[in-house]
This record gives sequence, C-alpha cells and structure tokens, in this order.
Amino acid sequence: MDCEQARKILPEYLDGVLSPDQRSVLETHLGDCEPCARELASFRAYLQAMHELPRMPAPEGFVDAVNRKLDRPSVWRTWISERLSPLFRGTPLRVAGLVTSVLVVVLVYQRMLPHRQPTQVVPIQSHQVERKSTGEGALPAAPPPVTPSPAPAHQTPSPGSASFADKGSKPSPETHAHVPAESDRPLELVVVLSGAKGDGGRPMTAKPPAPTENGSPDILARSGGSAGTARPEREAPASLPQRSPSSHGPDRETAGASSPMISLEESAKSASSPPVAPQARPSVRAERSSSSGEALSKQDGAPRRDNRLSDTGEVDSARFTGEPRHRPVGIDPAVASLRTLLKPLSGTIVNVERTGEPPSLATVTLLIPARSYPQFLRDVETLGMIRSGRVATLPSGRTDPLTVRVILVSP
Amino acid sequence: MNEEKKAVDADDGGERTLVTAAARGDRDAFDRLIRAHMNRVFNLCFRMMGDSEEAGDCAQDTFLKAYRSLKDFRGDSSFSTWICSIALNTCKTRLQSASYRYGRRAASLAVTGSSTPDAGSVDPPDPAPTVLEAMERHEVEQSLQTAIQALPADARSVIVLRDVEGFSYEEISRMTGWPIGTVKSRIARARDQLRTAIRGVL
Repeated sequence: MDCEQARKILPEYLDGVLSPDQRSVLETHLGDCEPCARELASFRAYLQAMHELPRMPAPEGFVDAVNRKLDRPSVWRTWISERLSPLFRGTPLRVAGLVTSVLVVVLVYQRMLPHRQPTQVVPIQSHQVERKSTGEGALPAAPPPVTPSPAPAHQTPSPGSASFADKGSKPSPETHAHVPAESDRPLELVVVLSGAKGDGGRPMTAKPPAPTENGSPDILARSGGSAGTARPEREAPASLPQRSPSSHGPDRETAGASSPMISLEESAKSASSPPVAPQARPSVRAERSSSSGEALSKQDGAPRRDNRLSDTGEVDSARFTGEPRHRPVGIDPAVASLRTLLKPLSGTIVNVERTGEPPSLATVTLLIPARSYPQFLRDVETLGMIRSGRVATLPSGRTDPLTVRVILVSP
Repeated sequence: MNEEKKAVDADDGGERTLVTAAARGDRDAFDRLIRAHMNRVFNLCFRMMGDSEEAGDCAQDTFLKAYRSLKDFRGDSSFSTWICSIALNTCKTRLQSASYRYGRRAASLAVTGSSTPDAGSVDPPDPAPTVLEAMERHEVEQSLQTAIQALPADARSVIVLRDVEGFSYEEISRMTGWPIGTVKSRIARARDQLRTAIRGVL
C-alpha cells in the first residue's frame, strides 16, 4: 500500500468500516510511514474538534414560539381578512373568495377588451385631418339629437354608393372620424336642385337651368350653357374660398368644382350602362382645363381627347378613343361629380349615396361644425332650394360635429 | 454520534404514535415532538447559519413546515431524519435569500475592523477546567465555525450532517437526494478545506 491509497481510506478507517484485512494493511503502512501517520493524527484531531463542538440548545420559549406561529394566520389570510372582511362580513370565506375571484376576472376581462367606441369609425379624407389639426371642425363627442328622423345615423356604403373608402386609400388611425351613433340622429335637408337661385337670391348661373337630354335637371346648368358652348365661370359664393383650379391632391375636386362637369344623371347613366362609343354618348358640355392649359369642348361626334381627370385622378383617355373603358372598381362617376359639386359646402363629406329612385337623386352625409351651420345653409342654397328640414336655430345643447344628410331631389 | 440522536431513534415506536396523532391535529403530540427534536434542529440550524437568531427563525420555520406536512410523512425514514432534512432545506433557502445576503453583508461591514465577537453568536457552555484550556477551545471552535461558514452551502450541509450531527452516508444521501459517491466526495473536499483552515489552531 502506498501513501496515496492509505490517505484515501483514512476516513473509512476512522469510521470503522474497513474490512479486517484492509485495516491491518493500513495499520502496517501507518507504522512505517511517518507522513501518513501525521495525516492520520491531523484527521483525528479534526474529527475530535468537530465532535466536540458544543451542542447549541434551543432557546427558552422555543415551543411557545412555534405554537404562536402555528396559531397565527398566514399573511394572505390576514390580508384577506383585513381588506375584504368588511365587504363580506357574515359570508363564508370560500364564498367571499369566489366572489372576489369573479370580480377580478371581470375587471381583467374588461381591461383586455378593446375600448368600445360609442360611434362608428369611418375613414375620411386627408383634408379633414388637416382641419382637425388646425382646430377647425374638431370632432368631439357626438351631439344630442335635434331633429327626429327615421334615417339611420351611420352610413354604410351600399353597392351603388361610394364613400371615401372608394379612393383606395387605406384608412389609418389618423384618418378616422367618428360618425354619431344611431341615438344621435342627423339633420336632414331635402334640397330641390334647381340652380335658379344662389346665395341671397343672387343668380347662380348666367342661364337658367336647362333640362338634359333625358329630361332630368342639369345640376350643373348654373355653371354654363348648353353642350358645346362656352360657359361663363360659375359664380362662387363670396363666402366660399376660392381655390386654384390647378391644384392637386385633396384640392383636385376643388378644381373640378370650379369647372363644368358632366351632369349627375349623365354620369349615373354611364356608370350603370355598358361602355358605349363616344359618338353615341351624351354630350359632354365642357372639359376642365388640364394643367397644361389645354381645354377642349367639342361635340362633333368624333372621338376626341378628354383630359378630364378620372375619379382616381388619372387622365381617362380610353373613354374618348373608342376603347373599352375599364373603370376602377367601386368608382362611380356620378358620385365623383357630386363630390366635386358639393366640395364648396361647409363641412366634410362623409358619404355620398346615389339613390337612383326619382325624384330623389342622391343622399349626401356631411359633418360640419355647429358654428358653420348658417353658412352651410347658405352654401346649400347655392345648389337649389331647401324644401324641408331647415332648422333656423340649432338647440343650445348641440355640439360638434353636426351630422347633416342632404337629400338631393329633382324638382 | 451524539446521545440525543440515539435516544430519539431508540424511541421510534412512540415517536410514530406521536407523529400519527399530530398529523390528526393533536397539538400536544406535536409539542412533544418539538421538545424531542428542537435542540438537534436548532444546533443544525446554528451550524448552518452561524447565528443564533437566524438559527431560531429557521428552526421555528422547520417545525411549522413539518406540522403542515405531517400528512405527507410516510415513515420511510425516521422522524429525526425527516425533520433534519426539512431544517437543512430551510437553512439553504434562507442562505440563498436576498434579504439574508443583504443582512450578512451589512453586518460584515458593520463589524469590519472590530475585534469583538459576533454579537449574534451564542457563547457555548464552557466546561473547561482552566482558563487556558477554555481559551484554546474557544479559539478552535471559533475557527471551525468560521471555516464552516466559509464553505459553500452544499458542502456546509454535508459536513454538518456528517461531522456534527453524525448522520451516516446513506442517511445523508437520502436527505440530500445525492448519490452516496457524491456525498462522500463532497464530504472529503469539505474536510480538506476545513482542516486546511484550522491547521494553525489544532
């Protein structure tokens, strides 16, 4: 046995678990090896010291201290009894715990739910956002109802209608406005489109409105004369802002508003009927000036170039070249024309819906600041005569924004 | 192997009866179990923690846990082994707690440079006949306890169980859940460290 083997079994030797043979071999080695003998003595002294460490008795009152802890309710029980016992006095603890758990679950569930909006969210145009940013036409909580009306407050675009969502722009959180809920019924104006009178009885057109080829009133007649003739510029109300015809973007419709367009029914007809050859098409009385200044107004039956912007803002050249016209899905020219026509109105157009049932032509839903309501009425009168629904004085409790439905009808 | 452990183990039959009664809610029976094992549990906790106050808290918590877990005691081992394993785990949990570490660090900073002994320690009974022997023994005890405190928690637990409390390797293996070989190797390493630490005073 060498020293390494001897020192390895020293603990077992001291524990007395070695076999008699191992024990005798180890003792022989320890008798001959002084370092291993010193190692054994050191090991024994260590064990002796460890065994002689004094036994530390438990302090007095240890049993009582343990019993006090056993009798003491747990921290949670204490907390529950202190905080919740007044609420559930006389109620079993399990029932109280169950009720509390249910309350917690309900509260957490309500927190996790998306915040319910009392109003419907519809996308709006960017210019409305600009108004909001400048403080004009801010959209606070929905106003209380003023005029009872069976019409629904929210406008869901029907297949025959077009809304701003038709523009193809993806609505962002910044481009959303709150349309009042059903409880807040909008004002409803029925406007007979005549174009005979404008603001304050001023003549809106150089010529009285002339019926179109199919006999429907030309809502744009006030803007000019018959087809193929040069028309004077539409006299815009003094209160309306004058916009540059060459502007783009949100002002594209503004530019269209200051220039003659096809009539509403014309556009509706073209929208609902299959593409026809330009020769058979009703006359287009005027074309707006393009950015290059080119303005053509022809009714010679031949294919011609029209630089009129389509509803998407692109030049619709196919319409006048005899090629099949592929209109973007969901774009109604009549609606686009109406938008252009109604652009000068105070407020923001939310929805334009073409009814298609004479004499009603279209229903326009607008949001306007309450303070702009008088001006709005004057603007509406530039389109025609307000037959019903006119409220001279708004109730004092009415707040922004007002939802107004303008029903355009033929006389 | 101390006499306390032998006495408790010798009365194993009566102890089982007490355990059964205590598990049914007999507080008197549990009081008797406490009195039978409190010194050993407290001593184990003191050697593990090195502080009488911490040892008292750990020992009390040990009996609280034991009382609440009496229904889980299957009797595979002795009650002494079972409750010592609870005490060991309680001390290790306490040693690893942030509050204990923070308290120890603050205490060590407070006594830095001071030659006075730890205020939390309890002077053991001194049966030494002479002053010189008492001083030497006290020095050895202090050195040993300091060396034990310097060990890692796992090594400390096995060295206390083996060399202080006198448990066998098998019992330690059962209490710690480590294989016997692991227990032996850890004990051997811990012993080497302790012997090295107290070489000057032995």
